[in-house]
Amino acid sequence: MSQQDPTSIDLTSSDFSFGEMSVDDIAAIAAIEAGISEPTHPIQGQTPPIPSIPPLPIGPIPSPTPVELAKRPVSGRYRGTLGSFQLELRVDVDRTRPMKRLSGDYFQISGNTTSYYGSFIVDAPTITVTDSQVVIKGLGSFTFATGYPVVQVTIPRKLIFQPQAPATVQFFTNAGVAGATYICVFESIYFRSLQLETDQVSDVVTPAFSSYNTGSLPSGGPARNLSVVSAYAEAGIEMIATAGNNVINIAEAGAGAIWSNSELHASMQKHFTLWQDVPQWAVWQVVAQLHDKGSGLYGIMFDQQGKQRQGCAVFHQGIGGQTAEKLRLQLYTYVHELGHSFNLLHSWQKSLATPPGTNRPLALSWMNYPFNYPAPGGQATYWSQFGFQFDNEEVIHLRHAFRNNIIVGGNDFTIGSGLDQEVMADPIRDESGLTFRISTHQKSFALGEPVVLQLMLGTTAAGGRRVHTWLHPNCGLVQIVIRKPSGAVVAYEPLIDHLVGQQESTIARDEVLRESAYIGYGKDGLYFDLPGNYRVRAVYAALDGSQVFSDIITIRVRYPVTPTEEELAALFMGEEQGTLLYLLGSDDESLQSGNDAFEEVLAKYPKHAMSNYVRMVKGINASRDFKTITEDRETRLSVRPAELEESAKLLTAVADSNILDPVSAQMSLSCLAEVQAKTGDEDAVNKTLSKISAMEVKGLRSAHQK
Amino acid sequence: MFVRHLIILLAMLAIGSTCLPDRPQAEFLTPYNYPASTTMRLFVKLRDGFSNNTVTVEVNEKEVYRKSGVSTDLTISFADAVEVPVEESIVKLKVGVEGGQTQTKEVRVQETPFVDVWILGGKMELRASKEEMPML
Repeated sequence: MSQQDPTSIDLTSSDFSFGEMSVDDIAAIAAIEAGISEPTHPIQGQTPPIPSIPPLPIGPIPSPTPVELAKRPVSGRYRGTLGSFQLELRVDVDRTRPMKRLSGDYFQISGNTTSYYGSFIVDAPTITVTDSQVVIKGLGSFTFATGYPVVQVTIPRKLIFQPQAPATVQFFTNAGVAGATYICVFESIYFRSLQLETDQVSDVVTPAFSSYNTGSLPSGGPARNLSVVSAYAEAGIEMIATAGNNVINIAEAGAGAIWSNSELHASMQKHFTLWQDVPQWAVWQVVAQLHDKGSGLYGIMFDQQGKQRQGCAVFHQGIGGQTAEKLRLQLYTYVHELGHSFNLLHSWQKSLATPPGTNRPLALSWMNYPFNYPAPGGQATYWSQFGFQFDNEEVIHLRHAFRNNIIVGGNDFTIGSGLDQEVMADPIRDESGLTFRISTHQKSFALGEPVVLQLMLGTTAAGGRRVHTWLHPNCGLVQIVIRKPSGAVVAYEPLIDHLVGQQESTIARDEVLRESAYIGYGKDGLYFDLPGNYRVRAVYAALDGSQVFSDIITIRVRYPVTPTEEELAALFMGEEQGTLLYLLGSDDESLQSGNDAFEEVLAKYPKHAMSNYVRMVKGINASRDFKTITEDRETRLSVRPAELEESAKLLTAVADSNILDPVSAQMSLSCLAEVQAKTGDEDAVNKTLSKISAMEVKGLRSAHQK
Repeated sequence: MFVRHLIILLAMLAIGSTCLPDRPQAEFLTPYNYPASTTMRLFVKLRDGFSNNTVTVEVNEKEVYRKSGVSTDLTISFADAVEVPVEESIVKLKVGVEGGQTQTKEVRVQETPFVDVWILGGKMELRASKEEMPML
């Protein structure tokens, strides 16, 4: 049996706090714990002396002592905005089972898009209570780097018939220098709110669970009527039951009328009216009869694919019925499975989380197994002492966990934190009216092969949208993020920043603006320098400030298998070669080793597909004059004239190869047409222009076209 | 030897299937609903603590289960299960993780036909019970 952590908050099985506590109670407890005794109270264990009673005064009867009106609790959820940031603040110092913590989530609002930015928690704040205000201050832990880690929240105390006062949230450096200040308006007594949709399968023969009186059988804690909603309310979580309750045809479970996890997931996608493949505060629970693992499976959080934890199921073959035992078991099972959707592990396996927690096999919690309870008496002991609640650590998780660790569809089950998830995270809200897609022209690339991204901007607005046309990441208005096979997430930084002016256009609903960008090399060197799967996402900064996210695509870089592939990889993967690909060729002496490597590619592998990238780069470079500033006093400027015949030969070979992505191919053909025009070969020009016309897809417009 | 036992087992199942009432394939049969003339069954479930392991189960020194890649689904604390027909009322059950622990337990099949295998805190435990321990 695992040892419990003696420093844990949850020391024993009995820790019931069902009544409300005020901040005064909390402050008094804290004072006692700090060793400060109140002078008017006798010291525990001693009897105060009996005072002598003075004679009654003769005179006017004194006025009655005014009754002190109760003050409003300050705990709950608040929200405020400063600049482009919105803060959702959670204050947890009074009301039911206060955990004496602060936490918050940041969101970044850009135009019509809102994205999650990060979270913080203050685990051990100092709480100072006066008659007029509550001040809560402490060092926070953040999901992002900040120079202002000290958090102070000040909340004026109001009488119960007055409106709740806003909370002032200030951030400080460790040295006490003030940072941002947010004024956060009170939003709810609940720390988090979630929509719960419950559907039922047609073959369930016993009623779906409604409520259970916990006093029906021996138990810990006060007797009360509990439903799933009220059980979570006691933990500070608001479950809003939706009206979308379907009856699901058992035929969806296939032959045998028993459910597999895959069938449950498919059913969720079909019937969960709020289903989206994004993190959101909405969860689906289905009441079914039997799982393919048998009647011993009472419930399961089956959603462990894609955005996980969005649905769970309970099975009435094992738990259905109307006896007190069965109703108690139903309540327990329904709440337990939803606990998994909130990313809670079983009590005895908390150490399996990432990062690991502390196992608590004796916890009297929804997340423990009564049938596996290790104390003497086993199941009987559990039920007789269980107060129908989560343990303190679980309540802290439910109320204060970093957003992605708890939100349904956030981090995968058991993953507690994922600091790099936020970089590629879906926005919370996107009302920009724009769509942004990225793709590559082939599913995988050889190691060393130039990776070219195609970017396409469209709109869903019926009347079209005014947009800027700077889709290339060189211009700084599109950002590209790459997650490497190692898991490291990097932003693509173009080799040269381009300062651009105003260039706008209106795109219609059936129109797509497109661009292609070589992203294999930039300021940080080679980005696709290892075999494996890369995940790529792009963000377009719209004219109204919206940050429009593209889909996330996977780019696979293949392992070189043959000696030829190995050598080609080596010939392509150099800093100079990367620069030449980025610049589309150069005569610069400092890049001579790159040019030499490309010459070797053409000499040794003239028929290999990858040699056409070299022809493209050299062909475009040869099509233009190349100016070099020298130190020669007489001829400071040296010009290498365009080598039109050489350029035409190289670019014609590229045009015939069909290896490039469509936009790069069009660019090469356009360059070839110019070269052919300069050489006076009108026939060739016409043929090339015909090829360009044949390539143009209806509705697709290059970002360079007006 | 293992192949011969497998053939015998399959034959017994074939004979048994003509005598038994129809039941959902997934449901474990308990001693209480088995016809008295039929062989007893031992139900072994692998629960927490398995992570891509090769696991073996032996009953009376005969291997009845071997599988690689066994991993626990933490949402229900369940990895895999095996149902073994036995004739003796007391059997010696041995469960092993390749390269790891092995545990042995004497099981009174008629009294406690369900055995759950837990690896908790790095230690393997075999827990026998009269009724099937639920999963959720």
